[in-house]
Amino acid sequence: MVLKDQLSHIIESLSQVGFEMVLIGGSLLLLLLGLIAKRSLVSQIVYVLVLVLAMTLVPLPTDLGVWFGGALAVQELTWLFRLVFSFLGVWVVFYPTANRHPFEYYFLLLAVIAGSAFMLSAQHLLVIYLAIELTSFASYLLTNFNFEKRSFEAGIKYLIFGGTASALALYGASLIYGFTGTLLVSEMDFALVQNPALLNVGLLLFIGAMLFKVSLVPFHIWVPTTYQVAPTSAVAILSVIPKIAGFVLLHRVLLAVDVHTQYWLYVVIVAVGMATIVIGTLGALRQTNIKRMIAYGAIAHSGFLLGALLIPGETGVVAFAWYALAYGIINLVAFYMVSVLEDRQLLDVKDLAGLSRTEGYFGGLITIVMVALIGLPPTVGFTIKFYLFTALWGWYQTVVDPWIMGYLVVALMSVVFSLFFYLKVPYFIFLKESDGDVQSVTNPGQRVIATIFTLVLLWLFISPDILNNIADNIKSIAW
Amino acid sequence: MIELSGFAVVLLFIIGAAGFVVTTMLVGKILRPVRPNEEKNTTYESGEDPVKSAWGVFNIRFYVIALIFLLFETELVFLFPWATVFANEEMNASTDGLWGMFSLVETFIFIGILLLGLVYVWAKGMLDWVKPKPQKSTYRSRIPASAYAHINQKSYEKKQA
Amino acid sequence: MTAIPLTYYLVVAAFLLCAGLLIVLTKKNAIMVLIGIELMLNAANLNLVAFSRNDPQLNGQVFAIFSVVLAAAEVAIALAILLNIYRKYNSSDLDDLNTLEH
Repeated sequence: MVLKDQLSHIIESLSQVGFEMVLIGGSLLLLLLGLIAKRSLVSQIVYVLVLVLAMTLVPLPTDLGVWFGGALAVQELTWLFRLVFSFLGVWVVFYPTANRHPFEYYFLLLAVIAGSAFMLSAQHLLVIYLAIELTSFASYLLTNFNFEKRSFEAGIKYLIFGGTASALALYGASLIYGFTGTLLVSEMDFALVQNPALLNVGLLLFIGAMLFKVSLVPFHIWVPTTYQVAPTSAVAILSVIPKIAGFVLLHRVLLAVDVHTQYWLYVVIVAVGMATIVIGTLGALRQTNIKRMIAYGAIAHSGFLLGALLIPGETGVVAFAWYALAYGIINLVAFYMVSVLEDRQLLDVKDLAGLSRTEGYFGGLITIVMVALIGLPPTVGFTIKFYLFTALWGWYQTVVDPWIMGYLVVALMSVVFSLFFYLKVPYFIFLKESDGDVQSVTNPGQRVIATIFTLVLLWLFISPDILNNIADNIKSIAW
Repeated sequence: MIELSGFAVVLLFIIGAAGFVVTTMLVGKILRPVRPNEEKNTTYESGEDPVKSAWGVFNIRFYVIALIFLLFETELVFLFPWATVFANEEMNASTDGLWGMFSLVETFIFIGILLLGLVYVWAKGMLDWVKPKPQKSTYRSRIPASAYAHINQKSYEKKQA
Repeated sequence: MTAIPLTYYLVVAAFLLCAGLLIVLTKKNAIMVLIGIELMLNAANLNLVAFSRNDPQLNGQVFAIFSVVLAAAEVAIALAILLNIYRKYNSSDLDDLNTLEH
């Protein structure tokens, strides 16, 4: 292409990344305003305004395409999750701790969302690397924002682990670049390489970076520590937005590699997914700290999300989109409850004993959220798990692959086991008697917010119009 | 002209680098006056006394300034490749000047973000060289200051042992 | 001029990567671990620059520039956290960071 055409192509492409540009420009503005107006409320308002403005600038699903010379591919999932990210990001300001964080906190949250947004469309190894690192760096810093002794400990552990994973991934990326001769994922032709042993090593290392972002085994070790000590509203974001973005990216890379023709990689991915579900579920069983328990639960959920990506075609993508959206909402609600409890230093399940005497209503709401995390009716958790299992079963009947059957069995077993740890919370609240006095935990405002949040979970189960709309939009465009 | 292989170039680089170091040190040795004293012979440690383990806590301002310097300094890496092409006349001519505008705007955005970082650091007071503030004691002694003056004026004779 | 074969660069890079990984896995001091990570990143940079010899667009070299800057940013974050750790724990030894349950 002539230079002039290239430049006009870039200028034309800029219109497609309005979402990301607003996020980055808005975060810089927030930093500047924060220096002038020191109050946390100002930065919260700017944060919400930036997200809302970004949401209005998401291009319609009618003009999808490849921009910046192939570096960014705006696809259906990109469109959907840009909307979802800006929607979910806003919820953070309703958390009870929102006023205690300095303006840098909201700046970093915007950075996480911007990095994840780039992960949604990145197709160029350099852009992928930059997007992952932007998200990671902001997450490392957010982990420290309680400024306690142990938050720094978790922060450095997270950073060293993430740094090693990303260094290995960069090495893998360099091998991929060397063997395929291009940095564009879409242009790589893995079948052309004569002797692919080294290339495969590079591919595995590179995929490791994404496994790290989505907390899949063996890159899940940072999750419980980080989730336990990081500020709860940051955990709510970190457990949802970078994870979904990482899965979309993983999906794109696996499609480019054509995972169904590379059988060894397929087996590796399936094994990783099953191990993730098993370790997440078993790890959660012995936790008494609620935050750590949900963290292990989130690891298990990653395994479920990976299962959706194993199904090719529309069914798999719809299953993934539904699961990711509903998982995001459930997690944000769950962490809202946790953050209300944490505000009163009630993080261990034993401290919750007898809470129903003063907080029967709030306890009921928590029970609904836990039921949603397990995946039982009448919550949206059931809808998504049911659809995922149906899709997996359908795919098993087409290919009759024992791996898929194994995946299905492991996932079902995990649901059964998750009854034991998620229901521990309502068990202590309602059935255990406490030895001492029980204080009241919530104020009316928090109860209203918690009710609205919980009603969303029930409403999506009763009238899944939104979910169907999403499915239609994804189906209407040729995948 | 001798045909050089890639390895020979590397060897020449190593020899050149070693030679440069040796030459400068030799020149220094010849030119400088040699008057060593105890202070000069100690290890240079940015104004800190080189006692105890090097892992001890240095003054915090060293770390902060060094970190800030590191960040801004490495960002300059991006400006070098840019500087080699942004005023390229051929590229400018082939795009009717669009190339020049394009690269100028891009770099201004980049430097603008860096400047914002500098403003942030400045406003946060990280660039201030913290000086210890002498604290005045608020304690009021009941003994008047003149009493001390009186004692100071008094001369004591050494007792003979 | 006969150039140095690509394999030589790859061997050096692989050696750097393994050395860095070994340092990360065995050293206890957090600073040493960071140095190990840095070595691994530089192994990847060497690979990228070596491979970009076959690329007329020099994509690999551009990639290497970006990764150098990112490495500096990462180290800055790490050192900022380590400063706080040193204040609270009076140690930069990773084995001493054991207040969190496992």
